[in-house]
Amino acid sequence: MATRAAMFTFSKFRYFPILKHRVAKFSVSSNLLNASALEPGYSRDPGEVFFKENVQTLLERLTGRDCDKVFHNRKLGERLEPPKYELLTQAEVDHVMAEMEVKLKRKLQMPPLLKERDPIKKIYSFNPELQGFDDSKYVFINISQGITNRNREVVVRDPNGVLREASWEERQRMCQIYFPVPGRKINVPKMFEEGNIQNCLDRDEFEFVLDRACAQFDPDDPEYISVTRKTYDFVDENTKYTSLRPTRHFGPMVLHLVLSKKMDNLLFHFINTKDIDAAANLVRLFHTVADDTSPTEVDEFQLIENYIQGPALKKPALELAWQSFLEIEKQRREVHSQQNNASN
Amino acid sequence: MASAIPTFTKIGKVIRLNKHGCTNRPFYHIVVQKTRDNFDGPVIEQVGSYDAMPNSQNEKLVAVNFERVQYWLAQGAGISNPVAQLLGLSGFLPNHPQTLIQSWKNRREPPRERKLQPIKGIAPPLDNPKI
Repeated sequence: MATRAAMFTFSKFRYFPILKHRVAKFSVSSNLLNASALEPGYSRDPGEVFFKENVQTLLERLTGRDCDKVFHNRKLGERLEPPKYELLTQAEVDHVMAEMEVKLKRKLQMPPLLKERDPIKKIYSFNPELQGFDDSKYVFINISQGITNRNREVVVRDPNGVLREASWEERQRMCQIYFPVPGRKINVPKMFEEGNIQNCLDRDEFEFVLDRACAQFDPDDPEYISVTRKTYDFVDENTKYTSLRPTRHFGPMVLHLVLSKKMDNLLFHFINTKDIDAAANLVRLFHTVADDTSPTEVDEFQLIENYIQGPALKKPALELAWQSFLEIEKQRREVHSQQNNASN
Repeated sequence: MASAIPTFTKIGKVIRLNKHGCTNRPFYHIVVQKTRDNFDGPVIEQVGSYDAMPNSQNEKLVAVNFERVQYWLAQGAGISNPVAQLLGLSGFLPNHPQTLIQSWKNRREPPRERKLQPIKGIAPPLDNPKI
């Protein structure tokens, strides 16, 4: 079992200032019994793929950087301030732009795609002689300074005398009571229940649901995984990619679609909107995920054609879209060359 | 202090429960105090809390700063009976004999039910009298 100590920070719920939260441990285990990563049809362990350099760069390129949408006004219940206009020299402008780059990177930092965590089953001691001392459980939490919530000791003494480590739900609840994280509720909000999520998604509130899930759960929480997958699948089915395109959730969504072999809708969307760079990056991502190869074709058109002829699942629709795009492209080039000739 | 479990001294520092909360709703702070000080007097350090009322999940929450408890024990602080019992339940100290005795007694004879008589015309009996 290989553990990578990656300092991964991700932004929290949009209501509150951005916090640093350390995802201390995610283990890449080849435990065949833990098939939850493979159950919904993932071809590979997502934790393995997500943190690779080339995958990260591809996802960042796909997300793009639409500053207007990333920094859009959010309704936080705070007092709105009018925009400030300042007269700056070029050097000062560059300085401000560099600061904005940093802020942009933080806002666009992608929440990781991990597989479900294993339930905690450790028992410290079994004292049947303590049965009857109380009807309720005693939950002990270590409130020492200097340990992260992930490593904090939370221990439960059951009425039957068993001293065990607290389950993930108990542990998260206790940590939230004694070390509250803003944006997180102690008990799971009703919004994440079955019928209620559907309600939110029908109203196109994708960013809200995903931001709140990010604030409420850890990325390897089964609830987080189910909520995010539901949202991603809904967005994919209804092809409402534009609302999520410039947000930090677009990257994980794309990776989810690629891993569960549902990327054809997205490719179709890119071809229709004539975003060839994005389409090419998507195909490159597919190859990286499928067998760790980077395709040798430099020409993007060739790359996409090979994909459509080869591994694509929705060939008819994609071929049609691709042909119509090529025709439009050809006509555009003809018109362009005519204009050039006329001007010359 | 050569004893394995710190013994209660006449005057010195002690780790004990200070009752806060209000009527019918106790809430204890686990504090380090001088023995002679009152519960509402000067506290050297608060080292945890203990909520004696079970919550909706039937849990009694105990927060303990084990690192500081270790420090004060090393400095020769005593522990009171209830705190020693709690630490025993948490696994930090061995099980306290009082916990074992109480469990045994509870199993031998269930805790006596307090029967509350209704006051005629004014108040019905409580559904779930606290044992």
